[in-house]
Amino acid sequence: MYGWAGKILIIDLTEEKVIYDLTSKYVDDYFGGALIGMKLLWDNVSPLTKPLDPENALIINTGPLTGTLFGNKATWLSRSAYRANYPCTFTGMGGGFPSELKFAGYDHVIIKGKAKSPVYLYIDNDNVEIRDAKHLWGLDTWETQHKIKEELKDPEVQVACIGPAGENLVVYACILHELAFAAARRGFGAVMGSKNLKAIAVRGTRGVKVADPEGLRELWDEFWQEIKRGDAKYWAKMLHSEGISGQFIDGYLLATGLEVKPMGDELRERYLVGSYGCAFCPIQCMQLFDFPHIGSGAAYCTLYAAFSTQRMYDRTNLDAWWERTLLVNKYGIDCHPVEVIGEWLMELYNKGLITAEDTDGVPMIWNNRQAIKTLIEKIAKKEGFGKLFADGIVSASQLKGWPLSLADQFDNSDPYAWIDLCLDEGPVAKYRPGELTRLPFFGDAFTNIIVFKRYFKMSEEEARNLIEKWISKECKRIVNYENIWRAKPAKYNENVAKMVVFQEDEFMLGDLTGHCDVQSTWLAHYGVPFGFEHYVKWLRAVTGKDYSVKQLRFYAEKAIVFRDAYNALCYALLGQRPVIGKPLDQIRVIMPFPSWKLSEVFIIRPADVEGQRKVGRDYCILRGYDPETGIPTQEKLKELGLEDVADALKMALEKADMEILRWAPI
Amino acid sequence: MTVISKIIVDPSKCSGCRVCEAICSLINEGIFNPTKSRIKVIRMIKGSPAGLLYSVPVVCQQCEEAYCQKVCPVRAIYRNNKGALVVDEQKCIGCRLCEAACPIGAISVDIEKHVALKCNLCERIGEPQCVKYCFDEAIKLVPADRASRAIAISRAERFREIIRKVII
Repeated sequence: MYGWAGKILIIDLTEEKVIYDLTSKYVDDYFGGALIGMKLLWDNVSPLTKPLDPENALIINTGPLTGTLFGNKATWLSRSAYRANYPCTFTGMGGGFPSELKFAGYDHVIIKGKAKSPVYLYIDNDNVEIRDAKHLWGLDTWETQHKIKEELKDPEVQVACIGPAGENLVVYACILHELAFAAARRGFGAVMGSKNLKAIAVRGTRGVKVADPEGLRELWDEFWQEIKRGDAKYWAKMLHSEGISGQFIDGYLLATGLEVKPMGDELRERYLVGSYGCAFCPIQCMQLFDFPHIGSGAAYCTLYAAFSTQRMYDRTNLDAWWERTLLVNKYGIDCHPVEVIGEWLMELYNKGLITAEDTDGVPMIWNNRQAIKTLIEKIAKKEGFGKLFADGIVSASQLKGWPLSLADQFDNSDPYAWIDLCLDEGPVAKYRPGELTRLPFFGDAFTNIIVFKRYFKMSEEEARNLIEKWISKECKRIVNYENIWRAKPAKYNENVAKMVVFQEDEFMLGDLTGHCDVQSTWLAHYGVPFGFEHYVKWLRAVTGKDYSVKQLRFYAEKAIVFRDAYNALCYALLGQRPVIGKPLDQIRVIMPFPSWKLSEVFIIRPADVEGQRKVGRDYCILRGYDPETGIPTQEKLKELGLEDVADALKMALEKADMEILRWAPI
Repeated sequence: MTVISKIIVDPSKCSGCRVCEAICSLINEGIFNPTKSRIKVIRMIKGSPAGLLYSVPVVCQQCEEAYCQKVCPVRAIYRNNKGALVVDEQKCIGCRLCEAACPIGAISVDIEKHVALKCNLCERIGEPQCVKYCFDEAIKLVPADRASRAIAISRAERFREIIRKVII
């Protein structure tokens, strides 16, 4: 078989057993990546399982393109510990780990059960060992990787591990690989910690066999010309040399029109060392920084989290940001919830609702490095007041009676999670007004005018025309309609739901094939021209199979519907529906603000609530969901070949209280 | 015989993306497998644990006095008309002596074919593909008689940067 490595590794930590399955059994019906992952979850994890139960499985999925030049992503899949009602969620991770797994001969790894004492996995081609990790327990993520590499006497072994936060089952703990590649957003670090699994070390020397090497070279050349000389060159150059610092710090900041000093400049001139990123990707979209007085490391998402919002510190306080970044990486925590919790405590302190005594003697003063450091350490180690936050911000508020209204929170998690929710949980979130700020992904393209002016010395008009051209091209590609996003804010339009569905499918295809969506699909509105047609060509050359655009969309839709049906089944069986903490009109839009004070924040206005609801309804009809509940219909599930899911869902819905499931207007 | 052109390396520009490894194994072996690549990007960690990564591309320099060629017991390594040292896979016995003799670690042995793998400047295509697809131009192909000056030029830019930073 070309493209797919061929084997599925099933590890039961309770029984200390390792068994194998063949990928070829699943490829025809479930294609690869996250869709096979969904099938494996369906077969292995009951909907009644809780994320931190030994019965839950952590599934690592690579796709047929992983390990080639056209992709290097692993999609991690499990029940999320971080979300209310524990839906099944996906999260992507890059670095050298995903391709190494393919080189070792595995497309998927399922980890079930719970080890008696801390262990780590060592996958070396055919040899799979469950090794003792007692001596690693308690170490931070960087030390753990270093120790494992020393122990295995192989500096090129790729390790994904958890830090103290994951060991202590902090629900937003992440899984970290190398300096800063993280499966961060869904609390999978806690899932790994609950299994007593400290790390997964992989080394493979087999490579990925491809059907048409010569064709692949030509396709690669085409890709290369586009990122070097085509429209995508601006995006590629910016992401490569400035990273997200150029785009988000300066771009968003300057887009506010305020007289502010762009932070990117100082960061670049004084601390930037070079580019950093996943194996086999020329873009290298992360950056290495060296702060001699604090330490060195890499950053991507943490930059975004810090400077676009200024939650815990002023954006000129680079030292505080960097210290925070290194700490979250080493302790293995997702940076976004930490920022939200920190901001909340600081706001409470500012308003006089808590004192230093509530936070173990360290006053939660805004922009104070000591406060930030203490907060992160206490959360990760589950010490002192950090214990309060192990299960998220809502339970902390309930325990202490501190008003949640001051927190920038959503559900049990942070506002960024709300964005993920749109991607994760389908129509539940899509129904709600405001969510279209994210999907389709056009909302923020115009902030780039400022970036283009600055970095490529374009005039305002040139930059605007370029971006409008790309967006029009993208709109045309999707719904044959040019002007959809020019009128802001988004008003109801029957094409919006179509675009959501299209982009969702294309985005999902990244999770199925192992292609990084940052490299193409996601950024189509920045002039990056790769989409379904390119996947068809890449897949043909890699796997030797002819997939049509229609087939690929079928698989993408199947994955989305499968996930939504599985989650609907969980909710029906539990008699619950995801709880929305706050109406969305009170959720902040993620943009830079001149001040961190809540009174001055930008609020998403549900400009056209009725319109947004219509979009939600359109979406359900397009996807084949019941518009009343947002649950996939029997016909749709059967059409996609998911008969067993359809039957189970039907049985559960017959017994469930439909009043609870019915979507209630805000 | 003289070397006609050679690949020069500037590790300070290498981002460590390993596209060169992928493209090399694809072109020469028809598979994506870094262990079969003739160019290797070594990622080094400064201080441990962690902190910073430095990447160095290791690739054959087509030495004038080639130890790999001298040490080969079956004379499987010859120089082609473009100045590249090429392994004759029919003759090679996979003894790994060349690997041991190479001063920069640029030769490896294929674990399946049991023959030495070394850069032949993409003899089949005529143009080294790793150079063509290096995003940061950390590896370049230059005529051998100009190689030293090319290296000096790339270092001079950096030297000037350092001086400028220190003085201003």
